[in-house]
Amino acid sequence: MSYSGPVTFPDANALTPFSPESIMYDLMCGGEFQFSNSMTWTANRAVYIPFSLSRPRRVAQIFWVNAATVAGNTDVGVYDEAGTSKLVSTGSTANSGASAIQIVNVTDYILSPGARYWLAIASDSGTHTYYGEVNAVTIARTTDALGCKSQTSAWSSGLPASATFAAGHEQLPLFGFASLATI
Amino acid sequence: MTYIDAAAAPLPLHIVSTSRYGAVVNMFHGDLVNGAAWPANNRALYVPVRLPMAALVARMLLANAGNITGNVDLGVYDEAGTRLTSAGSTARSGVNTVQYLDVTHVQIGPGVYYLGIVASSTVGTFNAIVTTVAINRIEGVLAEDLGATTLPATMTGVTVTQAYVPVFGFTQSATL
Repeated sequence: MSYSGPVTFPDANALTPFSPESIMYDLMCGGEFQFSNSMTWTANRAVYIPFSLSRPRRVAQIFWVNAATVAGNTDVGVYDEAGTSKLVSTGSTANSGASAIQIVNVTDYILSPGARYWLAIASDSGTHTYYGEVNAVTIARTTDALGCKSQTSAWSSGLPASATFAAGHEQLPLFGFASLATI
Repeated sequence: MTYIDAAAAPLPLHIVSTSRYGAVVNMFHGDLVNGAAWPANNRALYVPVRLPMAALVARMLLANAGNITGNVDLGVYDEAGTRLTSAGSTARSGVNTVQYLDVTHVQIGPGVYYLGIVASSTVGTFNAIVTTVAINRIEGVLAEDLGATTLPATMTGVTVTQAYVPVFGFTQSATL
Protein backbone atom coordinates (compact mmCIF):
# COMPACT_ATOMS: atom_id res chain seq x y z
CA MET A 1 0.00 0.00 0.00
CA SER A 2 1.30 3.41 -0.80
CA TYR A 3 0.34 6.72 0.65
CA SER A 4 0.53 10.13 -0.86
CA GLY A 5 2.47 12.86 0.88
CA PRO A 6 1.05 15.03 3.56
CA VAL A 7 -2.05 16.93 2.57
CA THR A 8 -2.55 20.45 3.79
CA PHE A 9 -5.96 21.91 4.33
CA PRO A 10 -7.36 23.32 1.08
CA ASP A 11 -7.49 27.05 0.71
CA ALA A 12 -10.72 28.89 1.32
CA ASN A 13 -11.97 31.16 -1.43
CA ALA A 14 -11.38 34.35 0.52
CA LEU A 15 -8.48 35.62 2.55
CA THR A 16 -9.25 38.24 5.21
CA PRO A 17 -7.68 39.30 8.51
CA PHE A 18 -9.90 36.63 10.03
CA SER A 19 -8.38 33.80 7.98
CA PRO A 20 -5.88 31.25 9.30
CA GLU A 21 -3.26 32.59 6.90
CA SER A 22 -3.59 35.89 8.74
CA ILE A 23 -4.30 36.53 12.42
CA MET A 24 -7.54 34.57 12.92
CA TYR A 25 -6.22 32.08 15.46
CA ASP A 26 -4.20 34.72 17.23
CA LEU A 27 -7.18 37.03 17.65
CA MET A 28 -9.17 34.13 19.06
CA CYS A 29 -6.39 33.18 21.45
CA GLY A 30 -6.30 36.83 22.42
CA GLY A 31 -9.98 36.89 23.34
CA GLU A 32 -11.13 38.84 20.29
CA PHE A 33 -13.64 36.99 18.21
CA GLN A 34 -16.84 38.95 17.79
CA PHE A 35 -17.62 41.41 15.07
CA SER A 36 -19.14 44.76 15.87
CA ASN A 37 -21.91 46.09 13.70
CA SER A 38 -20.17 49.23 12.65
CA MET A 39 -16.97 51.21 12.89
CA THR A 40 -16.57 54.78 11.70
CA TRP A 41 -13.34 55.21 9.83
CA THR A 42 -10.79 57.93 10.43
CA ALA A 43 -10.31 59.84 7.21
CA ASN A 44 -7.20 58.93 5.24
CA ARG A 45 -6.12 56.16 7.62
CA ALA A 46 -4.77 52.88 6.30
CA VAL A 47 -4.39 49.65 8.24
CA TYR A 48 -2.05 46.82 7.27
CA ILE A 49 -2.70 43.24 8.39
CA PRO A 50 0.02 40.56 7.99
CA PHE A 51 -0.54 37.23 6.30
CA SER A 52 1.64 34.53 4.77
CA LEU A 53 1.04 31.82 2.20
CA SER A 54 2.01 28.20 1.82
CA ARG A 55 0.60 27.92 -1.69
CA PRO A 56 0.18 30.25 -4.64
CA ARG A 57 -2.96 32.33 -4.25
CA ARG A 58 -4.94 34.14 -6.92
CA VAL A 59 -6.28 37.59 -6.22
CA ALA A 60 -9.31 37.80 -8.49
CA GLN A 61 -11.85 39.84 -6.57
CA ILE A 62 -11.28 42.30 -3.77
CA PHE A 63 -14.00 43.12 -1.27
CA TRP A 64 -14.96 44.91 1.91
CA VAL A 65 -18.18 45.10 3.90
CA ASN A 66 -19.91 48.42 4.38
CA ALA A 67 -21.97 49.18 7.45
CA ALA A 68 -24.96 51.53 7.55
CA THR A 69 -23.30 54.84 6.72
CA VAL A 70 -21.66 54.91 3.30
CA ALA A 71 -19.52 57.83 2.13
CA GLY A 72 -16.28 58.58 0.35
CA ASN A 73 -13.93 56.09 -1.24
CA THR A 74 -12.10 52.90 -0.30
CA ASP A 75 -8.96 51.27 -1.62
CA VAL A 76 -7.99 47.70 -0.70
CA GLY A 77 -4.81 45.98 -1.79
CA VAL A 78 -1.85 43.76 -1.03
CA TYR A 79 1.74 44.86 -0.33
CA ASP A 80 4.94 42.87 -0.19
CA GLU A 81 6.59 42.23 3.18
CA ALA A 82 8.71 45.35 3.05
CA GLY A 83 5.67 47.46 2.25
CA THR A 84 7.53 49.06 -0.61
CA SER A 85 5.58 47.41 -3.42
CA LYS A 86 1.83 47.60 -3.79
CA LEU A 87 1.24 44.39 -5.70
CA VAL A 88 -2.45 44.67 -6.44
CA SER A 89 -5.25 46.99 -5.38
CA THR A 90 -8.65 48.23 -6.37
CA GLY A 91 -7.60 51.85 -6.58
CA SER A 92 -9.84 54.53 -5.17
CA THR A 93 -13.38 53.21 -5.42
CA ALA A 94 -16.56 55.04 -4.45
CA ASN A 95 -18.21 53.30 -1.52
CA SER A 96 -21.70 52.10 -2.30
CA GLY A 97 -24.26 49.80 -0.79
CA ALA A 98 -25.17 50.24 2.85
CA SER A 99 -24.78 47.16 5.05
CA ALA A 100 -23.56 45.11 2.13
CA ILE A 101 -20.46 43.57 0.69
CA GLN A 102 -18.79 45.63 -2.02
CA ILE A 103 -16.74 43.75 -4.59
CA VAL A 104 -14.25 45.05 -7.12
CA ASN A 105 -12.95 42.91 -9.94
CA VAL A 106 -9.21 43.31 -10.44
CA THR A 107 -6.78 41.95 -12.97
CA ASP A 108 -5.86 38.54 -11.62
CA TYR A 109 -2.67 38.56 -9.62
CA ILE A 110 -0.88 35.46 -8.33
CA LEU A 111 0.77 35.76 -4.94
CA SER A 112 3.76 33.48 -4.49
CA PRO A 113 3.97 30.99 -1.60
CA GLY A 114 6.57 31.05 1.11
CA ALA A 115 6.32 34.80 1.60
CA ARG A 116 4.79 37.35 3.93
CA TYR A 117 2.38 40.04 2.74
CA TRP A 118 0.24 42.87 4.05
CA LEU A 119 -3.49 43.13 3.43
CA ALA A 120 -4.31 46.84 3.36
CA ILE A 121 -7.40 49.01 3.46
CA ALA A 122 -7.80 52.79 3.47
CA SER A 123 -10.56 55.32 3.06
CA ASP A 124 -10.64 59.05 2.53
CA SER A 125 -13.87 59.40 4.51
CA GLY A 126 -14.26 60.22 8.17
CA THR A 127 -17.92 59.24 8.16
CA HIS A 128 -17.86 55.97 6.24
CA THR A 129 -18.56 52.87 8.32
CA TYR A 130 -17.24 49.34 7.90
CA TYR A 131 -18.33 46.05 9.40
CA GLY A 132 -15.70 44.20 11.39
CA GLU A 133 -13.91 44.04 14.71
CA VAL A 134 -13.36 47.09 16.89
CA ASN A 135 -12.79 47.33 20.62
CA ALA A 136 -11.64 50.76 21.79
CA VAL A 137 -7.95 50.81 22.62
CA THR A 138 -7.68 47.27 23.96
CA ILE A 139 -7.64 45.54 20.61
CA ALA A 140 -5.20 48.13 19.32
CA ARG A 141 -2.57 46.74 21.63
CA THR A 142 -3.57 43.21 20.67
CA THR A 143 -3.34 43.86 16.96
CA ASP A 144 -0.15 45.81 17.52
CA ALA A 145 1.33 42.90 19.46
CA LEU A 146 0.33 40.61 16.59
CA GLY A 147 2.25 42.78 14.15
CA CYS A 148 -0.57 44.75 12.55
CA LYS A 149 0.30 48.28 11.43
CA SER A 150 -1.51 51.48 10.56
CA GLN A 151 -0.75 54.75 8.83
CA THR A 152 -2.43 58.09 9.33
CA SER A 153 -2.70 60.43 6.35
CA ALA A 154 -2.03 57.47 4.12
CA TRP A 155 -4.58 58.33 1.46
CA SER A 156 -3.11 59.67 -1.74
CA SER A 157 -5.79 59.12 -4.35
CA GLY A 158 -5.93 55.67 -2.74
CA LEU A 159 -3.47 53.47 -0.92
CA PRO A 160 0.08 54.84 -1.03
CA ALA A 161 2.57 53.32 -3.44
CA SER A 162 4.77 52.53 -0.47
CA ALA A 163 3.51 51.93 3.07
CA THR A 164 4.85 53.76 6.11
CA PHE A 165 4.22 51.53 9.09
CA ALA A 166 3.20 52.78 12.52
CA ALA A 167 1.59 51.05 15.50
CA GLY A 168 -1.51 48.92 15.01
CA HIS A 169 -5.00 50.32 15.25
CA GLU A 170 -8.16 49.23 17.02
CA GLN A 171 -10.23 49.03 13.83
CA LEU A 172 -10.13 45.76 11.95
CA PRO A 173 -12.65 45.72 9.10
CA LEU A 174 -13.83 42.58 7.36
CA PHE A 175 -12.13 42.90 3.99
CA GLY A 176 -9.82 40.96 1.73
CA PHE A 177 -9.63 39.18 -1.58
CA ALA A 178 -11.15 36.12 -3.21
CA SER A 179 -9.66 33.69 -5.69
CA LEU A 180 -12.85 32.81 -7.52
CA ALA A 181 -14.11 34.95 -10.37
CA THR A 182 -17.59 34.99 -8.88
CA ILE A 183 -18.37 35.48 -5.23
CA MET B 1 -2.68 16.98 -14.18
CA THR B 2 0.03 18.69 -12.17
CA TYR B 3 0.06 19.38 -8.50
CA ILE B 4 1.85 22.09 -6.64
CA ASP B 5 3.41 21.08 -3.35
CA ALA B 6 2.71 23.31 -0.44
CA ALA B 7 5.59 25.55 0.56
CA ALA B 8 6.22 26.53 4.11
CA ALA B 9 4.28 29.64 5.01
CA PRO B 10 6.70 31.87 6.91
CA LEU B 11 6.05 32.48 10.56
CA PRO B 12 4.59 35.88 11.28
CA LEU B 13 7.06 38.49 12.40
CA HIS B 14 5.39 38.72 15.80
CA ILE B 15 5.22 35.64 18.04
CA VAL B 16 3.30 36.34 21.24
CA SER B 17 2.04 34.47 24.28
CA THR B 18 -1.61 34.78 23.34
CA SER B 19 -1.45 33.40 19.83
CA ARG B 20 -1.68 30.10 18.00
CA TYR B 21 1.94 29.48 19.02
CA GLY B 22 1.25 30.04 22.71
CA ALA B 23 -1.65 29.64 25.08
CA VAL B 24 -4.25 28.26 22.69
CA VAL B 25 -6.77 26.82 25.16
CA ASN B 26 -7.48 30.37 26.25
CA MET B 27 -9.53 30.96 23.14
CA PHE B 28 -12.34 28.98 24.73
CA HIS B 29 -12.38 31.02 27.89
CA GLY B 30 -10.17 34.04 27.69
CA ASP B 31 -11.28 37.61 27.59
CA LEU B 32 -9.00 40.49 26.82
CA VAL B 33 -8.71 42.92 29.71
CA ASN B 34 -7.43 46.43 29.83
CA GLY B 35 -5.12 46.54 32.79
CA ALA B 36 -4.34 43.38 34.72
CA ALA B 37 -2.14 44.13 37.73
CA TRP B 38 1.04 42.10 38.12
CA PRO B 39 0.50 39.39 40.74
CA ALA B 40 3.60 39.96 42.91
CA ASN B 41 6.71 42.06 42.87
CA ASN B 42 9.44 40.38 40.82
CA ARG B 43 7.33 37.36 39.96
CA ALA B 44 8.30 35.81 36.66
CA LEU B 45 5.87 34.08 34.33
CA TYR B 46 6.97 31.60 31.68
CA VAL B 47 4.61 30.88 28.81
CA PRO B 48 5.47 28.03 26.42
CA VAL B 49 5.39 28.65 22.68
CA ARG B 50 5.63 26.00 19.98
CA LEU B 51 7.39 26.99 16.79
CA PRO B 52 7.01 24.84 13.66
CA MET B 53 10.07 26.41 12.04
CA ALA B 54 13.07 28.56 12.82
CA ALA B 55 12.65 32.12 14.01
CA LEU B 56 14.83 35.11 14.78
CA VAL B 57 14.36 36.74 18.16
CA ALA B 58 15.19 40.33 17.29
CA ARG B 59 13.25 42.30 19.90
CA MET B 60 11.02 41.42 22.81
CA LEU B 61 7.64 43.15 23.14
CA LEU B 62 4.87 43.61 25.68
CA ALA B 63 1.48 45.29 25.60
CA ASN B 64 1.36 47.96 28.30
CA ALA B 65 -1.93 49.03 29.85
CA GLY B 66 -2.73 52.24 31.70
CA ASN B 67 -0.15 52.07 34.48
CA ILE B 68 3.48 51.55 33.56
CA THR B 69 4.99 51.72 37.02
CA GLY B 70 8.18 49.75 37.49
CA ASN B 71 10.59 47.72 35.43
CA VAL B 72 10.31 44.56 33.38
CA ASP B 73 12.61 42.00 31.88
CA LEU B 74 11.64 39.82 28.95
CA GLY B 75 13.44 36.94 27.32
CA VAL B 76 13.32 33.55 25.67
CA TYR B 77 14.28 30.20 27.22
CA ASP B 78 14.78 26.84 25.61
CA GLU B 79 12.63 23.91 26.65
CA ALA B 80 15.16 22.87 29.30
CA GLY B 81 14.96 26.29 30.92
CA THR B 82 18.19 27.86 29.73
CA ARG B 83 17.94 31.54 28.91
CA LEU B 84 18.77 32.19 25.27
CA THR B 85 18.40 35.95 25.25
CA SER B 86 16.84 38.65 27.39
CA ALA B 87 16.61 42.40 27.58
CA GLY B 88 17.72 42.96 31.16
CA SER B 89 15.79 45.07 33.63
CA THR B 90 14.14 47.88 31.69
CA ALA B 91 11.90 50.74 32.75
CA ARG B 92 8.42 50.42 31.33
CA SER B 93 7.40 53.13 28.90
CA GLY B 94 4.41 53.97 26.76
CA VAL B 95 0.98 53.93 28.37
CA ASN B 96 -1.49 51.78 26.41
CA THR B 97 1.05 50.93 23.76
CA VAL B 98 3.24 48.04 22.75
CA GLN B 99 6.76 48.49 24.12
CA TYR B 100 9.73 46.94 22.32
CA LEU B 101 12.92 45.89 24.12
CA ASP B 102 16.16 45.31 22.26
CA VAL B 103 17.93 42.01 22.86
CA THR B 104 20.94 40.28 21.45
CA HIS B 105 19.55 38.60 18.35
CA VAL B 106 19.29 34.86 18.55
CA GLN B 107 18.17 32.38 15.90
CA ILE B 108 16.08 29.55 17.31
CA GLY B 109 15.02 26.37 15.55
CA PRO B 110 11.66 24.63 15.51
CA GLY B 111 10.58 23.41 18.92
CA VAL B 112 9.22 24.40 22.29
CA TYR B 113 10.45 27.51 24.05
CA TYR B 114 9.38 29.60 27.00
CA LEU B 115 8.66 33.29 26.76
CA GLY B 116 9.74 34.80 30.06
CA ILE B 117 8.59 38.01 31.70
CA VAL B 118 9.16 39.50 35.15
CA ALA B 119 7.80 42.79 36.49
CA SER B 120 8.94 44.71 39.54
CA SER B 121 5.67 46.22 40.67
CA THR B 122 2.13 45.11 41.41
CA VAL B 123 1.04 48.67 40.65
CA GLY B 124 1.87 48.36 36.98
CA THR B 125 -0.79 46.95 34.67
CA PHE B 126 -0.66 44.88 31.52
CA ASN B 127 -2.79 43.93 28.58
CA ALA B 128 -3.71 40.36 29.37
CA ILE B 129 -6.06 37.50 28.73
CA VAL B 130 -8.08 36.57 31.79
CA THR B 131 -8.38 32.81 31.98
CA THR B 132 -8.33 30.30 34.83
CA VAL B 133 -5.51 28.83 36.88
CA ALA B 134 -6.51 25.40 35.62
CA ILE B 135 -6.23 26.45 31.99
CA ASN B 136 -2.90 28.13 32.63
CA ARG B 137 -1.59 24.94 34.21
CA ILE B 138 -2.86 22.90 31.27
CA GLU B 139 -1.14 25.32 28.91
CA GLY B 140 2.12 24.72 30.75
CA VAL B 141 2.52 28.25 32.10
CA LEU B 142 4.99 28.38 35.00
CA ALA B 143 5.96 30.99 37.57
CA GLU B 144 8.98 31.88 39.65
CA ASP B 145 9.48 34.47 42.38
CA LEU B 146 12.75 36.25 41.78
CA GLY B 147 14.68 38.57 44.05
CA ALA B 148 15.10 41.13 41.34
CA THR B 149 13.62 42.24 38.03
CA THR B 150 16.12 40.29 35.99
CA LEU B 151 15.32 36.98 34.38
CA PRO B 152 17.65 34.24 35.62
CA ALA B 153 20.12 32.35 33.44
CA THR B 154 18.21 29.20 34.26
CA MET B 155 14.51 29.32 34.99
CA THR B 156 13.09 27.28 37.85
CA GLY B 157 9.41 27.30 37.12
CA VAL B 158 6.83 26.26 39.68
CA THR B 159 3.05 25.85 39.53
CA VAL B 160 1.37 29.01 38.38
CA THR B 161 -1.33 30.61 40.53
CA GLN B 162 -2.27 33.42 38.17
CA ALA B 163 -5.47 33.35 36.18
CA TYR B 164 -4.25 35.44 33.29
CA VAL B 165 -1.64 35.52 30.56
CA PRO B 166 0.01 38.84 29.73
CA VAL B 167 0.31 39.73 26.05
CA PHE B 168 4.04 39.62 25.33
CA GLY B 169 6.51 37.93 23.05
CA PHE B 170 9.06 38.79 20.41
CA THR B 171 9.32 40.12 16.89
CA GLN B 172 11.64 38.84 14.22
CA SER B 173 12.14 42.34 12.90
CA ALA B 174 14.36 45.12 14.16
CA THR B 175 11.88 47.69 12.88
CA LEU B 176 8.40 46.13 12.50
